[in-house]
Amino acid sequence: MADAATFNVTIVTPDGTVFDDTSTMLVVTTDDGELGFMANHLPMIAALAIGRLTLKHADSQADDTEVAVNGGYVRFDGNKATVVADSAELREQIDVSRAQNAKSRAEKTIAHAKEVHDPDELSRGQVHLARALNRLRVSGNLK
Amino acid sequence: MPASLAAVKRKLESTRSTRQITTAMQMVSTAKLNQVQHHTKTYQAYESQVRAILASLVKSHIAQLREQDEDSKIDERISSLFAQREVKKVGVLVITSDRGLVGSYNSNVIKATMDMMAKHHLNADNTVFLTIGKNGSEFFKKRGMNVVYEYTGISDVPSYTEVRGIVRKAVKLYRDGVYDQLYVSYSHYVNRIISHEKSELFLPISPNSLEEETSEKVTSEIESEYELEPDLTKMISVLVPQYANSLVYGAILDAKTSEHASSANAMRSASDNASDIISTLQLQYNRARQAAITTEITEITGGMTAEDN
Repeated sequence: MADAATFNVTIVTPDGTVFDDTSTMLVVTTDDGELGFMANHLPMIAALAIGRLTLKHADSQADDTEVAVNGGYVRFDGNKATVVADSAELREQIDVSRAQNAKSRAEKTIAHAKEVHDPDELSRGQVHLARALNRLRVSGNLK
Repeated sequence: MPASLAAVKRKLESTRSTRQITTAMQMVSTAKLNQVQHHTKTYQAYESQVRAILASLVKSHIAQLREQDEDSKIDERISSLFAQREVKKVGVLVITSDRGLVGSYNSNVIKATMDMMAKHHLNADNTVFLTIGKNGSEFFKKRGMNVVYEYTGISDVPSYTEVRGIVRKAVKLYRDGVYDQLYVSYSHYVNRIISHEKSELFLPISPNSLEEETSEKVTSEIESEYELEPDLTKMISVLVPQYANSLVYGAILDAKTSEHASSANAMRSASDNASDIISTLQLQYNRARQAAITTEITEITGGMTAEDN
């Protein structure tokens, strides 16, 4: 893998560009499971789920870059991958205590929504929970 | 006139300290303006990506629909953001500031909103309001308007995560049929001196505006054919709300930029005014002091002359 072909990866969110560098392999999470891209993949647009995004680097000694992504989509084109998402956080940037709080808050929302049979609130709570769990999972804080 | 001398001096000092404060506030506003401008630049990169993709997908989607004699069902959520419904209720999102000291910023936005309402024959019965910022919220409540959602305490450089709540709310209320059109009233930042107040129709999204506004650079980038995962309908149903959200967020950022510029301007003219007053007062003070000295000298010389005689 020492001379593996690389391609450019950019992760764009409304709050700025989170990542802009080369990579040898990009793995994203879609609703139907994981999807991997390597250099010279054919042009593709894929919708993303709330999930983990992993980037492998040409330097095999280097750790993989892991990112918690909230939805959005990825576009692969001309050896360039662009991920456009509502929000994306590198593993190092995740605020673990905030995610913990969000998790317990979402669990309360879901419990309350089930009590009063509010489907809107329930689905909102579930999205919040998925987001919090994703952050915790990517940061390695989920037992 | 010793009494007036002291009075002028006091006034001079208080004006000086006011100027100090307004100058500081001007600098703070300018710094915030720079911050928010930097943020807007990164947001625009995101927005143009979303719009370009959506435009190209919608184009091929429409072509596909035509091939299938238009009988295929479009995802409800897409059509609901595009389709023109019969207008029974209109939603207006008004973006104002929480604080004062921003010159005519708030009154201009409110005036533009009222003009828009008059133009489209909107009144308290067929309009619901969503407000960002205390000023707008108080104004419309006082006039007995139906304010369904208000958001105050927005930060100086709002992040997407922060305003996601109101952005989603605005789009969701539209989708749920609470209103059939969404106007956004805000102040569009042109440059540091000029802002234009706008009342624009945001929802339903018109497919034409989508194509017109797409910059050519990004479009040419995405001419090639794509594999879609999972499929076109699903992609569009993901992208349309994302685009709608990004539009509303863009308006909020634009309004904030304009607010900071307006605040910086107001503070600059306040400082200029203070400087004018200070120079007038300084002249008065010097005159009064000179007059006092002259009186004293006259008295002393008067006294001496009396003694000599």
